[in-house]
Amino acid sequence: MNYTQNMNMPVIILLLLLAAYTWNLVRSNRINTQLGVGWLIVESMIVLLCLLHWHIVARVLARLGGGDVTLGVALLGLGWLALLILNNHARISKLTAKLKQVNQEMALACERLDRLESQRGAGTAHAADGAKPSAAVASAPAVTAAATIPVFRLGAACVWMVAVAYVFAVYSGLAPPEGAAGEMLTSLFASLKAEYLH
Amino acid sequence: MQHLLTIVVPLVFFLMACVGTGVLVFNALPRRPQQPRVTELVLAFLLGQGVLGSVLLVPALAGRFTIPVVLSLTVPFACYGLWHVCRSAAAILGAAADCCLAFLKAPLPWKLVGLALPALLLAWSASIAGMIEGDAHAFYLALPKVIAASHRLVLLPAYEPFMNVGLLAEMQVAVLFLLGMPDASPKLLGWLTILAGAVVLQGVCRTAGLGRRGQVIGLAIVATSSAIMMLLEGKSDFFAAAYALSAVLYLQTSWSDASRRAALILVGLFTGFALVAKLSYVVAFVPSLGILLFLKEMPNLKRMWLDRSQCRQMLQGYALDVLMAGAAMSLPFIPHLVKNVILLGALGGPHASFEYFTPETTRQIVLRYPLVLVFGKYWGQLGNISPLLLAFLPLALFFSRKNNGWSNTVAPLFYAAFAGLVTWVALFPAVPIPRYFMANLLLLSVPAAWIADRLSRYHWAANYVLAGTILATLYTCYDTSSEAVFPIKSGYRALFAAQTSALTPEQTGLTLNINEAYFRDGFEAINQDARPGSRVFLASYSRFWLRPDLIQTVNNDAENSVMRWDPEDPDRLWRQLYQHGFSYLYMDSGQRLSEALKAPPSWVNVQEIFPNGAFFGKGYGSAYRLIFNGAPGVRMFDTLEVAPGAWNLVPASQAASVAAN
Repeated sequence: MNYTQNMNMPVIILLLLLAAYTWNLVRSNRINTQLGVGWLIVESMIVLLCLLHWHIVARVLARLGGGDVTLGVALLGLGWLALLILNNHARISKLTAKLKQVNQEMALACERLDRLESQRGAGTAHAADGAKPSAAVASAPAVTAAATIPVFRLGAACVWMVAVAYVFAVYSGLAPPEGAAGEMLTSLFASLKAEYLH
Repeated sequence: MQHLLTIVVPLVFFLMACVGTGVLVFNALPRRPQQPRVTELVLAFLLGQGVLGSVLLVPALAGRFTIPVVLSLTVPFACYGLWHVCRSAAAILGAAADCCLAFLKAPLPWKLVGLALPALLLAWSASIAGMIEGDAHAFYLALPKVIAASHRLVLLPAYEPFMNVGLLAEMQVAVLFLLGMPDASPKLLGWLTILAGAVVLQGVCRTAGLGRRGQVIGLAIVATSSAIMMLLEGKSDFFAAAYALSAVLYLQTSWSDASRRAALILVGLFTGFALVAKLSYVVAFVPSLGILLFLKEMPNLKRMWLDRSQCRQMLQGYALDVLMAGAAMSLPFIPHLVKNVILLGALGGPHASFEYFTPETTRQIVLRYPLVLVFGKYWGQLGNISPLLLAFLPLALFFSRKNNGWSNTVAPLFYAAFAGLVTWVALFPAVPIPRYFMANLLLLSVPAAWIADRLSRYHWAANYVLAGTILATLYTCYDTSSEAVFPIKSGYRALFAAQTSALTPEQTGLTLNINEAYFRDGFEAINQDARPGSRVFLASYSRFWLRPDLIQTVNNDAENSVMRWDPEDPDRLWRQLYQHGFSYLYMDSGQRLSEALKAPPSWVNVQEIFPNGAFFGKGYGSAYRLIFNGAPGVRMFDTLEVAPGAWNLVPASQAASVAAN
């Protein structure tokens, strides 16, 4: 617990600076909004965990680091970085392939236009610039954009999933029952047990 | 290295033998629906398990369960299985490459799930060094150990009536003990079966139209079910679930298959093995099977109702289908029933009572479904189904399922699983034990995974929350169960350390869960002290760590009914112990005979050999050497080695005359 308290202020300041930088990137459209918001959410959660001194963080880190919280942080950080790099490489490769495809299609389209122009003759030659296909033609949304679930229902679904995960963590003893919710859960669990012939 | 080989070689050998046996049965049904190569290998493994588990009953009942006999029955199949697996190597590598490519293409949250999920499933192999569950201590591991050592199948003392249950898994574990797998390492067969069942469930999800993400969610439900995880402690209930899921997979593929007969034969075989392995599936799974068999044919039947001749023809076809599946289902019962007749003189055994709780508690259990299955801690429950089922199934209320394939492929599974579950609750309301209807719960994971998959594709926020929920649940399961069930460090040492019997008790504690190690020490004290064929009076449920010759002659059911501590006649128990030939006494932490030990008669010398002043006291049991000097009465029973490793309880006069000769 002392360790997390000592760690807190520098970590919080670092995270706040990172959050400010991420916000700047999102605002200036230098990073995809979805990714940027995701980063902001994660940074906010870490700040919150540091402020709340939630012992579960130290427990998870110690578990991963074989009893050593520092090692747990290092392992988690390295693992996360490796996954991020791998993921970004995969995205770059995918985008490179798409870019190549788009360039090829553009080249083919330009060639077709040139052929049409030469067939029509000099008089009907149009500025090809205005007819050039937009590079945005390939950007079909990967996710079906039409949201057929109202936002309220979607939010309720997300809250339900998080609630079940939290209740399971309390039931398993990973998270201590805290506050009124904790008392309610404790009485719920007590009502879901019985000994033989009782 | 040698220790590792004693564990891995028999396991791989038996794995190949099962695959070879299963493939041979498949070859006899060439018109069966084809599965992807890897799934087909896994199905062959499961089918081979059932066949070998039945066939091996024959030498065991004949008292010929020896290495030459077992090897002659398994080596040809193992060779064929190995050859078949080598031929399928390209397909296996291709499937692995597909998985790697899919992993690279997956979004980041699902990459995390793709790492954590297989890591947890592989970590379960560390159960080799984990706790052994009470039922496994008493029967499910103790019986195979005795079969292997005595080379025969006879009634296990104190469990004589219980021997009417199917022994499919036990015969397989007995083979592994016979081939020299040390300590409790044959538990790894349970882990392999769970992995096989997970692959079959993935096949069921795929056939139901779920994509990779949905299949991963289905596997996550398996990996986060403590009711499955606890079975790693030596119980064999998942064998039935794996066989039942295989039956469902063939039923699914038979829907679109013009020639259903081969598929129905396999459905019958797998269902038969599931019923033999766990008879409770008669109540929970057979109704589900009936629904899956006929649900998709209902529209055809309705259409043909007006045309009587065609309707009659269809009904005749269905009757033939049922007869064919029923005939195949009855085949696995034959060796099982023969075993019962030989051992018990009857086809079945006494019916157990399922009145585990008071009527009021039973009423509360029924009213609190499904919470009892996810968060219940009832006597005998031994774990819960995954909370992800509870997290994902109700999400169906949040969006429409129309035009998304639900009605064609996923709905039948949901209705079938639900109907089986309702049947169980209606008939056995006081038994909220997931392993009794595990197949139904796993079938419910298909619609749950379908719903979760669809939701994750609706919106990126739902995608992140869903993946986060799965990761959090995976971690919770790992954190809370790994120390007891699958201690990774101890498992690593157990695989790569020397033979645990050569280790000191302190060193044993490093290769086995520490509580199990201390518990084992009580039995080891007797093992080190007792001469072959000594009788041990067990005031305990457990016996696995005793030497097999000692297990064969512990107090039996008849003796347990008459040998009890009576404060009115304190000498009676000690007289009985002398007359029945007992020279050791073991009590577990319950210490139910501690009163008797306070003032034994003068003609018996009770010497404590465990814990002998250890710091933990009698929390891990206690063991005593009994020396009788001038005891009243005569010794009525003694033990006799009737064959190498096979010990019987005989009249003392018979043992004396054999000794004199």
